[in-house]
Amino acid sequence: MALQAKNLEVTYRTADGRSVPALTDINLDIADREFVTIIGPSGCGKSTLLKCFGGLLSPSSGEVSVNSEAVTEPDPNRAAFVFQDYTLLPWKNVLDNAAVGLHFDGKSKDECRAKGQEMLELVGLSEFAKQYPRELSGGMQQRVAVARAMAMDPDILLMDEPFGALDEQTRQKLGSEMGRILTETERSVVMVTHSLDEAVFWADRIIVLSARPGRIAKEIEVKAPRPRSLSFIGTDEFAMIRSELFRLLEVPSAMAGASSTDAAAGQ
Amino acid sequence: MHRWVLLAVVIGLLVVWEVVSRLEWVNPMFISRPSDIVAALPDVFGDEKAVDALETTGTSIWWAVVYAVIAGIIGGYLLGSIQILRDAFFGPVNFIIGIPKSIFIPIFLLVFGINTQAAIYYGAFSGIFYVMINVVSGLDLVEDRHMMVARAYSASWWHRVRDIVLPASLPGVFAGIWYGIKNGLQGVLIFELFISVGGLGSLIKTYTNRLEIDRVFVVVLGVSIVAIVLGELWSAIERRLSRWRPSATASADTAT
Repeated sequence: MALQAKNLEVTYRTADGRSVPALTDINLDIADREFVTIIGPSGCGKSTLLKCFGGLLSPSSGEVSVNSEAVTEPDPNRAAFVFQDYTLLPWKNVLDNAAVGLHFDGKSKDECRAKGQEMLELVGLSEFAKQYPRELSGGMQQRVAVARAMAMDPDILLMDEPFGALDEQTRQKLGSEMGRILTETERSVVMVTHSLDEAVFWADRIIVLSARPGRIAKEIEVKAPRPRSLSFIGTDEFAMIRSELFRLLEVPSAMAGASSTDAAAGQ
Repeated sequence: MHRWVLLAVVIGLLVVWEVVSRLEWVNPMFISRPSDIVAALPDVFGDEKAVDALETTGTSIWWAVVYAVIAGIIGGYLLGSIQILRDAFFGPVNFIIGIPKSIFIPIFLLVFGINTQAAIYYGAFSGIFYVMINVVSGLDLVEDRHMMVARAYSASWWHRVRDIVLPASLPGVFAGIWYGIKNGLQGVLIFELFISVGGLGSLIKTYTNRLEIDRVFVVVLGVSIVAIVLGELWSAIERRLSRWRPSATASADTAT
C-alpha cells in the first residue's frame, strides 16, 4: 500500500469565525504503481486533498500515511509535487530547476547535475539544460516540473492539474508522452484534473469527489492496461466511463444519487 | 535615427546658447558660453584645487553610497520581512522621502561639525531611504507559488533566502542601489555647496563668487559625466545579473 488516507477531514475557518468543511470522510488506499485520478466539480477540495497527501496541509482530523509512515510535513522523497502553475524558478536554468530538490537537500553540485541531466533526458529536454524557463513553452516547462519531481525518486507523484494551463493540442501531445514516462518509472501517481478525458485516459482508478464538502462520491476502475495509446480514446470502455463521469459531474442529482447509493450499500 | 535627432537637439541648444550669449540677449557674465567653457577646460584641470576637490568629492560619494546601500539593503530586508517593523516604520520612511532632505543639513553640521565626514553622512542619509523602500518593494515580488515549491521540496531557511527570496527581490535591490547612488551623489554635492567643506560643491560656489561662470560649467559638466558613466556602468552590471528576466533580453521565442 503506497498511500493510505483514513477518515480525512479538512475544515476551514472563515474570517468571521465560522468553520466550513472542505473535505469530509475521505478513506482511500492507493496501491504501489497505481495511477489514480481525482476529479470533481470546482471548489470540491481536489487540490486540498492533494496537499494533505503531500503534507503541505495538515488535515483537521484523520491521517495520511505513505508506506505506513504518517505524513506530517512535506518530504519530496516520499511524495513529490507537480503544480498547476508554472512554478519553475525563473532565475535558474532548466538543469538547475530539474535538480532543485536535490540542491535543497544539500546534494553536491556534481550529483545534482548528473541526476538533473538524467531526468531531463527522461522528459526529452536534455538539449535545453542551459536555457532559462522563459525560453521554453508552457508544455516544456511542465515537463521540467515533472523532471524536478522525478529527480527526488519519490514513492508517489502528486500532480495538481499539471496540464491545466496548457492548450488542448499541447495537452494531448504531452499526455501520451507523459503516460509513457510515468508508466515506465513504475511509481504511484495521484493526479488531480478537471478534464474528463484526462481523468479516464490516465487512470487505473478514478476518484469522483462530490461538491463542497468534498467526499468520495464514486470510485471507477479503468481496466485497459497502461500505457495506453491515443487510440484508447476511441474504445467503448473509454466512452462509457467518460459518459458516466459526465453524468456525475454535470447532473447535480446524479452525484447525490451516487453518494446515497454508496452509503446505502455500506450499511 | 533616434540618436541623430538627439545629437541635433544638443548641438542646436549649444548653438542657441552661444548666439544668445554673443548677442548679449542675456548678460554673458551670468551664463557664459560654450566656446568659453571649452577654453576654460585646461584652466580647471590645471588648477590644483580643482583636482583636490574632485578627489575629495569622489571619495565622499563613494563612502556615502557604500553606507547608504549597505545600511539600506539590511534595513529594507528587515522592514520588508518583519511585519511589525513594516507597520511601524514604513510610514515614517515614506514621509522622509517626501520632504526635502536639505532641511536636515544644520543638524548634521551640529552633530558632525564642518568637515567632509559630515558630507559623507549627509550623502548616506540622502540615499538610504530610497534604497530601503526599493528593497521592500523588491521583497513584494517574491511569489507565493515559488515559496510553495520551496516548502514542498523541503528547502531549509537558508535555501529559501538564497535560492528564492534574494533572486526574486533582486530587481528591487538593483533599483534601490541605483537610487542610492543617485541620491548619495546629490547629497554630497548639496552639502558641499551649502557648507564649505571642500570638494566640487564648494568649488562651484567659489568659482561662482568669483564670477568665473565658465569654470562653474566645466565642473558641472564633469559631475554630469561622472553621473552618466556611473549610471551606464550600473545598468551594464544589472543587465548581466538579471539575464533570466524576460525584460533583460529579447530572445524569448522558443516554440513547443
